[in-house]
Amino acid sequence: MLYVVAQLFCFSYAAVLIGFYTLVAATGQVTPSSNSSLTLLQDFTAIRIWIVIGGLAVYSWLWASKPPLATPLAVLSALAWVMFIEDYMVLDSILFVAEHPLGQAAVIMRPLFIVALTYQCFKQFEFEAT
Amino acid sequence: MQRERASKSDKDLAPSQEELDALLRDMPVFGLRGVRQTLKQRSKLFQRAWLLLIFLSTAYLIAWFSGFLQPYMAVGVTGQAADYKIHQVRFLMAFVLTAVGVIAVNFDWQLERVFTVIAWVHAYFVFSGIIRQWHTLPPDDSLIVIGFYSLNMLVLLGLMLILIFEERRFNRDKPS
Repeated sequence: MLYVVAQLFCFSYAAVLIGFYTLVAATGQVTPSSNSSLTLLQDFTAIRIWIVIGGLAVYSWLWASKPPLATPLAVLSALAWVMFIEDYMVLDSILFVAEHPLGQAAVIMRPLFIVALTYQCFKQFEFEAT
Repeated sequence: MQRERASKSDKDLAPSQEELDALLRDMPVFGLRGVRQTLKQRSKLFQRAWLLLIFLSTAYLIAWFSGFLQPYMAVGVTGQAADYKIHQVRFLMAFVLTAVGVIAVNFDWQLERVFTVIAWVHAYFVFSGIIRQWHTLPPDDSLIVIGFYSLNMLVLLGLMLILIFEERRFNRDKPS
């Protein structure tokens, strides 16, 4: 049950993120608190959104076709943690204030998303071991 | 009466503690073996790839701490504090991942999975680094620097892929 909730949460987070990125890309509403590192933020966002889309597509495909999922989930969890650490330690001071509800939702949901993904990963290892 | 007899028979079939200890002693789930012991069981290619990976990691550490690499980093061109900080954070994460890899080899534990995760994180570093350099470097010498950077990083990625595929082959050929 908890696994399904975690899974639904991860799907929701991915949808929110893709929706928010599409909105930002379409309207250009990025207001950084420091212009000096804006390009760094944009460079990272440009590659990360494709990782989110790719990860979502691969996970959905694997989930539907039922091969072992533990290793892909471990990879996605590691990448999510790495990006979170990068943002928290480097980009924290330059992140724009997300005034849009989608942006606020993405910021609030992120720690829960990482926990949900890591939980799924460990649970999947447990399933596959038994 | 029959129930008592069945219960007694079940107890007779259950292994004793000594038997359980003897069985578990020969199948350690997470036992320290040492790098040499683990490498001895792997192919020559795996051994060479591992040694080269460790050698290049050490060479990188020496080059970074001696200041040789500084002009070739993104921070050397942009001068932005965020670029320097992102390098420091990635340096720390790469160090942690290397430590995890060395521990996995020491314990001969889930090598394929561990190196698969490390290789994907490394791939993320490679591609985000290339995009970052592409945007920040001046067009005159961007191709040379990006080529040099990509070559170094892709060699490391290639070595990790060799380790993953060799480990997969080792597990497939291992007598069960």
